[in-house]
Amino acid sequence: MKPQMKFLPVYASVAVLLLSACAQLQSGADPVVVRAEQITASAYDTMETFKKYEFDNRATLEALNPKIETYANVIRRNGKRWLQTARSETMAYKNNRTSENKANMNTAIAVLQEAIHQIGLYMAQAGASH
Amino acid sequence: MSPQLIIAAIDGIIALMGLVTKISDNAKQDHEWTKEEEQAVDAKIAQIGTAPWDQDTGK
Repeated sequence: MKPQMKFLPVYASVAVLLLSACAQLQSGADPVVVRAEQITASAYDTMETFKKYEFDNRATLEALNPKIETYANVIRRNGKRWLQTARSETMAYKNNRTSENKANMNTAIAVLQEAIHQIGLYMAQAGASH
Repeated sequence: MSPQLIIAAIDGIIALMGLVTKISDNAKQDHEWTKEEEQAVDAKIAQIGTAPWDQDTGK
């Protein structure tokens, strides 16, 4: 069991590495926007995966580490709003590429990056807590 | 080692492997989203809260 669960942080690390690997962009594409959209999509996928994993294994994970359920609830309460904020700020920047709009978009994206990071930590704790 | 722990471990590995695949696909994005792609993502986000795993347990 323990070696299997120890793979969880490994996969999370791989995911982070993949996220940081940028594709060659098409001509005219703004790398800041592309990265914001990549992170938005990945944050959605990460949140959905984490919530479902916690739901499917709640009793077991609660015994291993109750903080996993607590953070899954944080995502349930805030994740949709965080994603919608990122989308609206990204659209605002795409429609009017000012430094202020760029800063607002980056702030919203940083919230998503932190959520991805926290989910990775909690998944790692699940692997380390038994 | 309980059967539940084994199931949770396997489920976690499968979930994370699927997530790695999705994030890898996201990283291949080489253009700003089109209107259609924006609408598809917004529609997925709008659906958050409707799945069984979206229910807040209050903890």
